[in-house]
Amino acid sequence: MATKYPTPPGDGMAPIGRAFSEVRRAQRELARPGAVQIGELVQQVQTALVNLNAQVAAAIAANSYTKSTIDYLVAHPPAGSAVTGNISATGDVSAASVTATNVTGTNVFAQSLSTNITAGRVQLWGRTSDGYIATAVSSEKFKSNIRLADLDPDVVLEVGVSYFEYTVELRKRDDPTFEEYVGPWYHVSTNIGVIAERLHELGLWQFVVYERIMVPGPLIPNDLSQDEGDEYFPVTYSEQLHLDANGEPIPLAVHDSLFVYALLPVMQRMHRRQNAFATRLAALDGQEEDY
Amino acid sequence: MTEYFIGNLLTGRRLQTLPVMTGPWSDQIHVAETITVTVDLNDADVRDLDLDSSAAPAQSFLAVRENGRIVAAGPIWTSVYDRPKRTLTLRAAGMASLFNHRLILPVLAATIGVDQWTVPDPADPTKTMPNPALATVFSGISLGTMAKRLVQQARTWTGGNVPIEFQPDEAAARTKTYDAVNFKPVWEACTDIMNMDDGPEINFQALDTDDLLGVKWLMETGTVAEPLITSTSIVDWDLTAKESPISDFQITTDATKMGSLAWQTGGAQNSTVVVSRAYDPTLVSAGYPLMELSDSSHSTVDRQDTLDDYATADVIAGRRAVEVWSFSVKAYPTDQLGNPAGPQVGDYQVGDFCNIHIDAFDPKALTGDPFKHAGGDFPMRIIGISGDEKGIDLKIDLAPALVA
Repeated sequence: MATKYPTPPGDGMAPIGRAFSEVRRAQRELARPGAVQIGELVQQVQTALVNLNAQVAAAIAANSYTKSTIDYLVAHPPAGSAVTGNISATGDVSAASVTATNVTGTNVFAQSLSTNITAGRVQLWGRTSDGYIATAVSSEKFKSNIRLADLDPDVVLEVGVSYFEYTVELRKRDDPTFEEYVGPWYHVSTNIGVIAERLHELGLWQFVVYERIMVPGPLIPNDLSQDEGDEYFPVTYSEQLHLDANGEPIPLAVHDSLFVYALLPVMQRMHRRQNAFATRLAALDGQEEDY
Repeated sequence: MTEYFIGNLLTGRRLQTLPVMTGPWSDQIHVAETITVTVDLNDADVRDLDLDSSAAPAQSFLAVRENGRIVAAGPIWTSVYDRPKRTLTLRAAGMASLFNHRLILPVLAATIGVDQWTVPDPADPTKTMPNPALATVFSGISLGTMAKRLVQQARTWTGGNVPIEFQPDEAAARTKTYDAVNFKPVWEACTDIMNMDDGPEINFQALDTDDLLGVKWLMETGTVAEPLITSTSIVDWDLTAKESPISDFQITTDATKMGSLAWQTGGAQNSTVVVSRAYDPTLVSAGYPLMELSDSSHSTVDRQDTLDDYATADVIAGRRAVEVWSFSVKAYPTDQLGNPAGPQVGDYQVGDFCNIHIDAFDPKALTGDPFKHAGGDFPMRIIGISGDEKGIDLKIDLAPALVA
């Protein structure tokens, strides 16, 4: 068996230097990972990553939804979904059935009208400013300054009834440059009605819908600090009549449903004249007839 | 006469002699020699040497010769120029120090992809293992020859061919694998080999080349039969004789590394824990308290038998306190007539055995030694020699010769 001889401590700082060398060697030994260690560390990391995926998947399955599920649910909210606040959409909103207190939109379509409504019905009122549809109330309790409408039956009788086709419908059939162009086979419906401008010209403004515009309110800075360089925006709008260059309102539509009120004076006058004719005929015949 | 000279490290060719102001040097067992010289730049001869380039650290070596024998030589590692004093101080260490800067890597490591240092483990594809193509593997050779092969492999790299000669190979039933990923310095591995239970000593002995125009180093390693590097001559010194060349005699005893139970831990390379234990009852039987030794510095060792070697070596070394006898001795002792008397510098070197004679202490005549009062002949081994530019006195360190 071999024997070991010590290295002498040396002079001066030599022993300390040697001690530091030993410490440095030990430190280097500890800081030097073996290849297997490296491999196993890599393996552990890889295993952890694999487990991490599984754990995340399990956690999602237990407590959350995957992105695809979330995307699907956002696209297809399940039955029973209820939103407590407002709903807004920049695109179209479609539904098989809508029951709501308020539905607001630029275009509100009922693509498949129900044909089986048999219960009580009301008269609807579409507000020009925002298209709000509601029951057209007519009770005295909602009204003030009730007075007789002085309509001239002769003027009413001058209203002409016309057949017409809507220009847009014609372009769908005849104008290939039109973005909604369909083709020559497109069927254009013939409509019947009165022309808003003719009613306006006859002074029957009560039955005309005039164009309206939204007028901006006071300009407000984009923040309350009102620093130099702030941009100013209106935050309120009000609706006003849209007047032409001559200051005249511009007809847009006709209150078809109201036009029945224009016919009443005509009918009343006809009724009075009929009664007068009946009275005179009875006097001529010496007997009173019940017409 | 003490002579200092510098030369080119890679070729070993001698460049010039160096006149020094001071030049302490030291040669100690198991570690690289050290040389520190200071030269005077006020000396025109020194200025002519252009030491700024001729003594460039790491490119040049510094050597010291005593009585015709090179006692220390190796790379210059640092130089300090002191302008106020107009001096230049060079510090060099033995050739072994160069191999603290060389790693156990085959030449293939210079070109193989850095992503190929580990490969899938055939036994377990989910794991990786050090690439066997980069391993330095030894089998069928002795520990000393393994150390030799480590140095030889380092020399095969471009720029690694420092002038070193080697002993013949020695066969032995030994195997050892050094994985490249450990980046172990060559000299650190050599030190590990020396620290093993039956590990041989390793030394780089500087020698003159045959044409006397340069220096070469002989890498000496102990053998299986004789792990110690020593000569057959035994020097005698008489401590208590009249006109003894010995002065400043001291004995330093350090028991801090004694122990009866040694523990070694390793296995970090395989992420396991390998524990080795060795127990020697000598101290406890002699009435010492139980003291333990633990060492985890061989953390990459995963072979039980290798770790056992370290533990056994620890417990053997732990049997006794580290006892160092040191003294100054005349480098060229003479008798009253001026004739050489006693060992002359160069007649002995580190590793040699010697005999120290001490007369029995006579309290009346106050002869002998009051500490080693029984006196006698003490077989010792030289574990360190140091000198200086004067070449008058040497400091000798001895350790008690150990019985195998």
